[in-house]
Amino acid sequence: VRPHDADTDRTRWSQAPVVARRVHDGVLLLPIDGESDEPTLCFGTGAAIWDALAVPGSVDDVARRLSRTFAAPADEIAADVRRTVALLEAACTLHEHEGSPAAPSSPTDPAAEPA
Amino acid sequence: VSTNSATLVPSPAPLLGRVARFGLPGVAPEVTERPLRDVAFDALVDEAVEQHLTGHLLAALGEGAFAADADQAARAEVAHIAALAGDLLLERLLVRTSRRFAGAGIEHRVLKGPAFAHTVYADPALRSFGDIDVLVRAEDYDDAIASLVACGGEVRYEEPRPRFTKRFGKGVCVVVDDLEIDVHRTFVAGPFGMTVDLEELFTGSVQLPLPGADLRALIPERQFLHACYHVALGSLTPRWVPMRDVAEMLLHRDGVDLEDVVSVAARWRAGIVVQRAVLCTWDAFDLPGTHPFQEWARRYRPTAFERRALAAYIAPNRSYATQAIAGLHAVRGVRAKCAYAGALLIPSREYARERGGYVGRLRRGVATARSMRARQ
Repeated sequence: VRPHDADTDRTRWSQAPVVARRVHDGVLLLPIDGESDEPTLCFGTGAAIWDALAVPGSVDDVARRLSRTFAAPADEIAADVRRTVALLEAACTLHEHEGSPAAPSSPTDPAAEPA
Repeated sequence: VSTNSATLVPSPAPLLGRVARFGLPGVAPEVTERPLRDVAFDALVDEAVEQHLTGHLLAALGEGAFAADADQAARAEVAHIAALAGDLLLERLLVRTSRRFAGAGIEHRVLKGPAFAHTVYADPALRSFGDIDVLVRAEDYDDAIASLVACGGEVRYEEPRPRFTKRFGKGVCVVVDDLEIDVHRTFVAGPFGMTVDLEELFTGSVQLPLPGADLRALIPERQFLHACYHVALGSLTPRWVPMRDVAEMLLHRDGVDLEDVVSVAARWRAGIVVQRAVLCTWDAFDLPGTHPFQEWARRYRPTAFERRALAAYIAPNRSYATQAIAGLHAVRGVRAKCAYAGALLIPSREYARERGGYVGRLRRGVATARSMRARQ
């Protein structure tokens, strides 16, 4: 698991190609190109973070998106997002999104707006 | 409730049938009103895992149609997640296999489990499977097997004669990383496998929503026909999951055209296969009301060929040998019949050795042919 630093927070993440199944309040993920035979199971907010990364974004971007869903301040959610992103990356279910890194704070990020 | 006399644990079979039909339209939703004893519940979960029905069990538990305490529900969920993990490993192997085939220029179609899970069911988690099935053309068959062997796959069975499967057989099972891939040339072994118009299976396709490869399934009517072959011919007693596949396609999904299915089944000399699948499904699930397919099935009069061919699949002494011998009727052309019979009666040395030698094989073949003639 990559230690937390400022660069990690600015990295934009996106879902890696996975096969997946929905389970009660969660999602089971197995990367197509990973070597592990053990799928990753994300429950609750972990599943919400995975879903949010259907649109590439940084830790802050995802925290802002989820703050609306969970009616909680983005900076409180960011710690959960950071931890979950690190676990998902270690499980090869995320990759760094190609493109420019996110600004430290980007309130006008279109991905942050709900569809 | 019937009992298993060795353990006095109630047999899960009747309840499993109610789990298997849970969620079908017009079917009473209740599965059980009171929680089972733990030993009975665990037996049911084991059987649901074995028969790939944990998705429907979880759905029934989730909607309160299956009474269970919290511990039981948790155990069922763990079993379901384990089943889904197996599905994902198989699906990843499917994607990787498809990439290899595409790289070798081998056109292919995904059959059964993953294809049905992603195109027939509302949620793929409802349709678990134990292996993956891929259809290739006869001319690509050897290359497909070679491609899998090149990545460490092991072919499970010897052929009676070189090129027998490519010309007459259903296909072969290849084991890759302890997972099974059935490489199909046709739907089933025996006579009904030989009357399928194989090129027709590659006409049109449905794309599967999986990343990493361009995975294609059969068009809905051919998927339905394959599901019928699975119900009617796949085992002596039809299994729950294939029957649920047929019921899902008929009752939940639009787009299975009766006229198309009946016309293709007639050309493939397989009307009796559709008839048996539809009637078995209707009876087993005790489905209410009438349906155009059910009405057609009740009226249909099978041909003599169809009746004789079906007997090879549903007779109590059902075996690969009985199906292979019955297949002789479906082989077209004298030279092809001779090649077919010769391969079965005088197989390769390796094939015969695995099955008790030439003499024993000839004796069994003669006995099988006699018993089939006696039944006719």
